[in-house]
Amino acid sequence: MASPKALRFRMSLGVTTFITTVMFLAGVVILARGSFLPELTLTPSSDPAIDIALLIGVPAILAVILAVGSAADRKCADDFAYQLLATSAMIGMFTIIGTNAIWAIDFLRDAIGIRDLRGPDMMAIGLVGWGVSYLAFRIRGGLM
Amino acid sequence: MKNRLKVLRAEHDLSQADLGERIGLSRQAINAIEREKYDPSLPVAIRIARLFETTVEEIFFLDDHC
Repeated sequence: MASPKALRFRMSLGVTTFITTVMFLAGVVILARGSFLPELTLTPSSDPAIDIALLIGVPAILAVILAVGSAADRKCADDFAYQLLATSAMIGMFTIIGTNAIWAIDFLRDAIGIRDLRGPDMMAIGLVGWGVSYLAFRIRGGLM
Repeated sequence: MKNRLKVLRAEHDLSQADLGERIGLSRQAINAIEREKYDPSLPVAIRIARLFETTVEEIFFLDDHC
């Protein structure tokens, strides 16, 4: 049987729900705020080779660190919370891809005049997708 | 996946919180299993089976759909 300390650590569903809700709200605020910001200007690269190395290296290193953390989570966290977080994280990722695909449609730009997506918008869209799907699974066990 | 956890829990006179505490899960997780909204991992299923001194197959069984 697990020790009381381990049990307390596993009873983390309320914490994950709180954190995910806060992240969802942060995503909404970031997306709303982005619509009032001035036009984005991109800084050109001074050395493409360094940029490429960093753009590939930083995510790769972060992914390794997060993979180690995720392995610890899988072992120690509440199994239900882990499944909820993992499933909703995947949905959040596909939400980013889907939203980018919709924003790439020229008709929307021409007819409606939607603004371009910025870097922080990507993160915010992921947070919104993650939050909505987490809460949907948490409250309803999915929508089916 | 279907299960008869609720029946077993009632037979052993355990609350959801009691069961969760014994196998290291939250009460909400036990509730989600019973409502068949969450399929527990294999280690959790084995812990549940051991607690009730039965096999995993006696508690969890496949749904015909999907």
